[in-house]
Amino acid sequence: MENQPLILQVKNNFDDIPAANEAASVWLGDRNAPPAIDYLANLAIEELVTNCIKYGYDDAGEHQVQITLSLADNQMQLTVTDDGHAFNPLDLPPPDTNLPVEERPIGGLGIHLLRQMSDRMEYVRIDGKNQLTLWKRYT
Amino acid sequence: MNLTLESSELSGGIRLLKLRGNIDLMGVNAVSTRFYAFCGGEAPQVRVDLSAVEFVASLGIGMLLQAAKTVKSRGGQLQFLNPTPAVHAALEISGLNQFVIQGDAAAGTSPA
Repeated sequence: MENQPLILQVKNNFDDIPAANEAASVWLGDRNAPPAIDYLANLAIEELVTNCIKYGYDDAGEHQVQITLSLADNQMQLTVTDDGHAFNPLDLPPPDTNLPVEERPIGGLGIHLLRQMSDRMEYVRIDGKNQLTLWKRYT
Repeated sequence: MNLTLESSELSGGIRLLKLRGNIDLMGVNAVSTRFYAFCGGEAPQVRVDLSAVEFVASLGIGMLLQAAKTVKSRGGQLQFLNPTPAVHAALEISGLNQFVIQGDAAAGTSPA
């Protein structure tokens, strides 16, 4: 099996997310990645592309979000790159999940889930684009 | 996998809701209105069977949290039954573990 990354271009359209998730799952399945890695990849695509579409753009035009997925040395690396305005979601404070349910706000859990489920996440702004990467080791 | 919602009534007026598939953006859009409708009324008793849910995104967690808030505000009780390990982990990270019932304790919730 070639060790080339999977590169997906997704339009800023919610309808394009399921196909990207399906492509990632097929690619990971062909490489015998464990279910937890498939789950995290799908979660990352769902959360990060959704955030781009909802909050990333000030115009209604078409944009491309790039997903780069790779496996090497029992580690998954997934990067989402978008040309939306500069925003580092890792600067957001974590939600207080200990609040009584009646006081809990709805929302703000996507990045929290990804941070907890991955080993590491990093954000960079490069060439006018946001680039968010997560890593997860597996056995 | 597209999300589906089946409902049944248990003894004591308990509402059993079975979700099947992925609780992602598409899933929430497909079932949330019907799902919330089962959380209304006076002191609703709601059990949500998550044993056939394979994936939950933050929007799905939000739907489950909204249901918990609604049921609690109406003086009722809501429980999530037998989530798969990955979904259970997401609920735990999201602070919703208090609503999870696993194994034998959930097995008694069969339709009347």
